[in-house]
Amino acid sequence: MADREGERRMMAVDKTAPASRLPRRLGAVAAEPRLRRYGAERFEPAWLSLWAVAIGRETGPPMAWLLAADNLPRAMLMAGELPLHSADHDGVLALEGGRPPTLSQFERWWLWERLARPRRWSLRVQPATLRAVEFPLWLGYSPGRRHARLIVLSGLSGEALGALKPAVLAGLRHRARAEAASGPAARDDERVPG
Amino acid sequence: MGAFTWWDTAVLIVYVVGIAWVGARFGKDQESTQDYFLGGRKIPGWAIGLSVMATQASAITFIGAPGWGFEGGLERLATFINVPLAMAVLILVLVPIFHRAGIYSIYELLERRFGALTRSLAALLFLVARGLATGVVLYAPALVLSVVTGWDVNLTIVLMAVIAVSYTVLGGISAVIWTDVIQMFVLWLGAILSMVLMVSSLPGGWGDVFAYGAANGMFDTIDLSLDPTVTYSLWAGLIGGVVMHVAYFGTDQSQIQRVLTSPSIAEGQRSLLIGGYLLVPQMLLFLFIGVMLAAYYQQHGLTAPENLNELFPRYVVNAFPVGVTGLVIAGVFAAAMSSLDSALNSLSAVTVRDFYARYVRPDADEKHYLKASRWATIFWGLYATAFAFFAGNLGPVIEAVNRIGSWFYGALLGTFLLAVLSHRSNGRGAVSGIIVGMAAVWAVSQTDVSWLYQNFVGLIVSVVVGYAVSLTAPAPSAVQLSDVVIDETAPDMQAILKGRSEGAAEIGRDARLTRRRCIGLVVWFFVSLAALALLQGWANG
Repeated sequence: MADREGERRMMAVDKTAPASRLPRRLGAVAAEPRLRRYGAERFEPAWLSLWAVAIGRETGPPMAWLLAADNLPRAMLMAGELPLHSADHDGVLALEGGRPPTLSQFERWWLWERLARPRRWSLRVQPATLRAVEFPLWLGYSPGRRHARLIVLSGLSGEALGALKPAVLAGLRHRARAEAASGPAARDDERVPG
Repeated sequence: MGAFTWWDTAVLIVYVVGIAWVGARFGKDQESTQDYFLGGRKIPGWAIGLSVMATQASAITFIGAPGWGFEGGLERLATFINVPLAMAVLILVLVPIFHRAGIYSIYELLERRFGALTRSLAALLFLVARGLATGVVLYAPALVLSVVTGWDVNLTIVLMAVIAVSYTVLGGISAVIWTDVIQMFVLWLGAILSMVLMVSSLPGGWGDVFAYGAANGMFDTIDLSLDPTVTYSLWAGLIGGVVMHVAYFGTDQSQIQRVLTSPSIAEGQRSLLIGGYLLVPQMLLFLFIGVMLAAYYQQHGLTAPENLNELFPRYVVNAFPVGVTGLVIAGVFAAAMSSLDSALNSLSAVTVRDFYARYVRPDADEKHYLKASRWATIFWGLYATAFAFFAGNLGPVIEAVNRIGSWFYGALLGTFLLAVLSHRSNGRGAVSGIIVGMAAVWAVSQTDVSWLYQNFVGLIVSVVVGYAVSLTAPAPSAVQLSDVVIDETAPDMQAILKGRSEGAAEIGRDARLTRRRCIGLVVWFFVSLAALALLQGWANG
């Protein structure tokens, strides 16, 4: 446990600095029919905070990024540069995705990615690039037959991201508890941007 | 015509070197890096589909299916007619859970759900079964090479093994989807050309083929017999075949790996969809070539080779124009390399991830694991080579692969279904289910019951025994169920979701994408079945 904390400190990152955001390429108009196909009846935009670390040659520029949080079973892989911009307050639901994974967690994820498709052995995790990012999502709500269902859609590519569902649910639960502890507060995320 | 000439040899060498060059060239530049990272997202779906087909069965189908068709006509299509249904089950039940669990090897799910012993046992069964099947995959192109060169088949097996292992250790070319696409086109070109040449050599053309097939009952694909000893009855295909293919495509790491590495559930499902639609027509094409070969041999008064796996390669060498023979044989060769590369890679990955990094060296660095994975590839190459020497005795190569799988697949699928569908089952039950399920398969294999039913027997016994034994041990904890229980069903989560849903914008209703995909596969199954029934009806007057 102490090692894990030490390793987190080694991958020091300023947690008070505002997270950068990935662009929301999929607007509400495009998200709506996609979510409808998955059975959603209502939807809203959201941001999920994650941790990104670059993949590249030791001294080269990043060639891809791993995005994860410590409670996710696996990292997401994004090719190329991260098109980040500053995170302005837009009133959209912002969810806490989890703490930063350790360097060894990132390295291990990258190792399994390469074992599954054995190429790119020369590329390594670049620890110094660790940063917080906010990932754009569209959340769809389906009443379901027995239980309400959540559909998580990427605001970047428009694909369903079931792998992020545990983090989104944990974020929603965390937020609901925080709201309950601080008393009922007005929702500040009513607006659905297009 | 009539022999594998120097021209053919030159075409073979140029083709194989060319494919390797394309793989190496596009494997290094930035475009391919993007392709690698994106899992082929920028490549059209049809190309990904052909690549899936090339990895799955191309060379084996090319060699094995005509022999099968020669011997039994289209009756063995019963083994494959169920593939659309199996894909629908996978898309609906297993793929979303595998993807959501964020696993690299499917056996990890079993550890989280049932404990380390179940994971290790399942991974071991995969290694044994896939290693044996890889022996058959190795034997197939070696046989082709042996037929065209006249060399001893055991020598060509060793030669092929050395090439395949070196190729895989160096990185392989399977990541380059376009090379697989070229291979599929070459194989299909070979198939269509052989049909044209055969028909043109028969005095009555297509009429002779259909007359011969109808007279010999070769178009009788649908056997409604309820007798379990009838090997290729429709029921054996439906009951046993569905289980076999769900298990093959869903619990065999070499097949499901592509789904696990795809960036989204939809993309993973797409690759299965394409297989679901194309596998039956492809099998029909090659079985039909077998029927045509039977008519051709009969009309020309020829004697079939003792080993029916040699049938089609021999025909290609004897009948195809100079140069085209080399091209088609090279296509078989390269396609086999693609399958071998994929199989050896998955064997090596499971060995390292599920055993070496799990038990032997959990904290080694990446270079160490790379070295370990290369040694594992060499080991599995040797294992497959040893088995390849016996593969010729197992009958047509496709059936050999499926028969090997049938020893293990039913029990393995039963364990996965217990993990996913039963929240009461536990590790003790899962291990008991696998062992007793396999014992039951062995017992059934000693009888005359169709081998296709073995998968079903393994599944039922492993589920029933697994569940019953689970009742003798405590129920699994919430953590153990976390991968298979959707978090949102918890009461507090339901309240949160309903609260958020009330404030969210409304959208209209439509059919669900996954459901629509599955309905398409089921419709495809019935269309295929109806087409075969019509053919059979016509053949029987």
